[in-house]
Amino acid sequence: MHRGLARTFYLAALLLALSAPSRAQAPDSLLMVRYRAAEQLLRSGQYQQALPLLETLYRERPDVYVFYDRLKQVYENLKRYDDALRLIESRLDARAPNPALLAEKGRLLYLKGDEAAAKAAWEAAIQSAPQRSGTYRVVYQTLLELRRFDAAIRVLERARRTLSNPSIFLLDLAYLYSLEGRYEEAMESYREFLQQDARRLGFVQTRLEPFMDEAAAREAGIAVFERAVRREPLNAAFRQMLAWLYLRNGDYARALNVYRALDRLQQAQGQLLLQFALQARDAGALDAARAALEDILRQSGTSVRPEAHYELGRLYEQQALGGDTTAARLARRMYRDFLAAFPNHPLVPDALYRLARLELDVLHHPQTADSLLTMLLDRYADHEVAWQARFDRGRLALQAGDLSAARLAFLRLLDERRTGPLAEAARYQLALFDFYDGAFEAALAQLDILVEDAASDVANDALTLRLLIQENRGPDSLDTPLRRYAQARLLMDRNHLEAALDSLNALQQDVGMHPIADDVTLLRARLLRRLGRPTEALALLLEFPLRYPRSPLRDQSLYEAARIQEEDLRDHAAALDTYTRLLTEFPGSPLIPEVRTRIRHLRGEDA
Amino acid sequence: MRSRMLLLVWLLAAPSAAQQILIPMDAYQTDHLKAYGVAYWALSQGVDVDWLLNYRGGAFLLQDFPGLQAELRIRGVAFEAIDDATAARILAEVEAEDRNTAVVRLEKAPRIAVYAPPYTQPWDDAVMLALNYAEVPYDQIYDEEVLDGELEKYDWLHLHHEDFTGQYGKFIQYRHMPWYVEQQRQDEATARKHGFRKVSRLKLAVAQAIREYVRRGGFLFAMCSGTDTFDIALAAHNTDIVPAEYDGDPVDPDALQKLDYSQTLAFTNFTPVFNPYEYEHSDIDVGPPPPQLRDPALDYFTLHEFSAKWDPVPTMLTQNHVATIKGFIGQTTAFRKSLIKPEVVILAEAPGRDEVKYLYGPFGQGFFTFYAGHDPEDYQHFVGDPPTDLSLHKNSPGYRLILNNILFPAARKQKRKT
Repeated sequence: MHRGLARTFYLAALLLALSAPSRAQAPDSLLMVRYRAAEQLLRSGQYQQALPLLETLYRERPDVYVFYDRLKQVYENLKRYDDALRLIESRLDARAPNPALLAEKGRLLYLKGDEAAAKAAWEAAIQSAPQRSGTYRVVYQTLLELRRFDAAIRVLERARRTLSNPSIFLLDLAYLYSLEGRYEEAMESYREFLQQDARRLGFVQTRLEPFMDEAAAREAGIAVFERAVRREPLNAAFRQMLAWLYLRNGDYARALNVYRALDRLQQAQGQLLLQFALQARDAGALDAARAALEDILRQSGTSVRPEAHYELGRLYEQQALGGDTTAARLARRMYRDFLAAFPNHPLVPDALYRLARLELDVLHHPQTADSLLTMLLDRYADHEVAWQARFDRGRLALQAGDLSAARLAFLRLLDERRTGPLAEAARYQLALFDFYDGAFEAALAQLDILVEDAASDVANDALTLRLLIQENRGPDSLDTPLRRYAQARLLMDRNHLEAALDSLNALQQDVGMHPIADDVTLLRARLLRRLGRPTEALALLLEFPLRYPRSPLRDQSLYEAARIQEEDLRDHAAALDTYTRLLTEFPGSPLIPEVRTRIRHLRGEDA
Repeated sequence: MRSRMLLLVWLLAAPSAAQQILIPMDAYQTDHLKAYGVAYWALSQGVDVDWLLNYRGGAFLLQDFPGLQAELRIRGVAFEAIDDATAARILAEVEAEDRNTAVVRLEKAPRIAVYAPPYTQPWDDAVMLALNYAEVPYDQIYDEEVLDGELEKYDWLHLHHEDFTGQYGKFIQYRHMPWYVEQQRQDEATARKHGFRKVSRLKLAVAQAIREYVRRGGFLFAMCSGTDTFDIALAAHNTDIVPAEYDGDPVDPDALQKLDYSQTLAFTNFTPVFNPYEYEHSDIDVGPPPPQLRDPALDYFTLHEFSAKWDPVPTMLTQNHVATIKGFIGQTTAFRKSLIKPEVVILAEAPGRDEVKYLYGPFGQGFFTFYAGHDPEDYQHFVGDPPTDLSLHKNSPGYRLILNNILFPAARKQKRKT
């Protein structure tokens, strides 16, 4: 009972007891005053001072429960357990065997340190009324208070046997088993509880939550509810519980099987499977998510088919962005099927945009991408995704060589969005156009704005481009080498890789010792790698520090060389040597943290 | 023939060109914390390390050996390859009578144990963070291992946010959280297994075993509540200071009279806090600054300076590249100066206040070091906060104090009595 409430209750009981007509008014008032004084002392923790007052009160009125209770409390707080026990004995002598008093006697004996006598007292309490469930409850609660969970369990199990009621104290036992780490029995108790009332599933899960960090608890739960499901396959609560346990255990594959069954059992028409798929996707369990979505698509008459289609497309797209062309084709098919089957669904603009991006970046079909983006902009010009579509149309125009259209697309975007990542990306593209055109001052003006916000996505690219321009102008007034470099870069950005390489090779021949020579070599190496000629690229990069001993790009060249050795040539020993060389020769390079990470990875130290 | 002679001359001359590695620990060091790890690693490779106390922030000097320079570079530790003559000059300079510097030879990688529970707790342990970041290997042990006598295997023991009074950190407001339930369950099970009726008695036995380990020559480093609760538990060996909310029975009414301060390591005449709901164990801790002054920019403490030649132990423990270190709060934030035993050496304190942040003392054949506060780089670390990323604090002076301790047992010393 809450302390305040208890105090009010005791005070009311006391007033009732003292207002009995047979008692004289004056002495009772005196008792009341003394009691209040004792209460004050108890509240301030002055037990020693409260003791004589309470002893007097109890001597005068042993029939008043509150005097007895307070006196016992004081004895206990003063650790005078023998006095407290005598107090209880005096009440036990006066009445018939009382389970509550005997349980309390056991508690005090336990606190005194006499466990054997405590056990005897609890046994006597049970023996005093063995056919009443309340007897077991009072003893069990005493043991619970003492955190003797093992003994409390034995009392409740005995109650079940004696009362021939295997269902009594079900939740109490379940909780005690959990506290004792006896998870199998705890789960079995909860199973039995759910059998009686399936609506309490949420309650059971809340009760189990504190123990779900324990692998043993999860595994015991899974074992119990797997058996339960086998025995009663139509019990939805058991299956829900099993699915919940699988998910808590990170086992999405097995959770999926349960969701499949639940979906059928509850005639959810794929809704439960979709819910599971999204959960699995967010947790990175992509295989399970995909399997769930494919299941939905196999169902007929499901209301969530459009969402399943779309989500499956997204899953494949996610894989495709890592370079998996089969996944890219599957994603394309999913999006196309979705658009054909559900042309009015709210997810259509997103699907159109995602499909276009897939065609552009992964499948390299710019014309298809263009027509999809045009369709998107025609139909959903005000949709949020349309802004991204406008940006990508600019990129498409660039790839097609229509620089005016591309520039116009980025200009409009910048004009309308003004701020934010998309606007910054558009500004960077405009700076690149100025660079391609040889309008270096104009490019620098745009780049100056971008580098001001160091946190922006394009700040690094902007800074690199600015440095390239600043350091490589001249020697003639037309900045010819830099212009030729910019033209080669445009070819590269338009995916004309061979032409870009030819152009750079020619430039390399012509520029001699011009400061741009190192940038040209680095770009040549990158193009060679993209063209699938990693050995040639590697040779260029490894000799770079010797050819350009004063270039600020020497660390970059070694880093890119090591990446080729590690990723393209799978020569880990050589990569390790090159990374170590970078560490030794360029200890101040900004690439050092990444280099250390790569070395540790190659040494197998990041597992 | 002539070319062979030249080659021979070159081979003989080459090693002397760069035979020694100096790891500076002043402002030139790029990663102070990993530097300790490299020193430890070198010791574990059988290479002696000279710790140059008060020289360039407590630099390390060691013989170069294959792989050392690569390891230093990979770990990002700044170093200088110097020849023997330069090394000799540095050593002579450090040993000079007129300078407060000294050389301490580190000879053996100490065996380290961290006393921490096997179950997860929702706060980090600064020492484990430091050891993990510095790549110093250690074993994690807890009550079972201590009671089974495994402490003897280790040279250095660390305690962090521990409650040796058996009050579960006085985190009663979290009593329904999974981690609290689990902690209580496991501690009670261990207590029962070892024949203790209460967790407080189990923890007392553990504290006494650790005290005995120090007495026999072990090194103890404790932080946060691992410091004051250790002494409180030892002082309360004859009484019960744990409120009923934690152990089921009330505090001994004569508890204050029964406290036995002769058992403690660092503190005396303190008064335990009996209020179960007050997040404080005793008046040893001065507590965090009042909210209006709780500002990391204003809170700092200063390291004392000791004679490197005459007082090498406190000098080792206070090696740093700065003299003033930013403060940080913990369940035990700083020690009340008036409650520290006179034989204990104060290593760092908050200037102008009655607050000690860092102290050490000898006990029997061993030593103990107490460092108040929870996480030197997280001013106020709350339950559930993410652990500090030490790669963002590579030069942390506060964390350096922790790592000074792990090398301290590696110093050349007399054989321990057993």
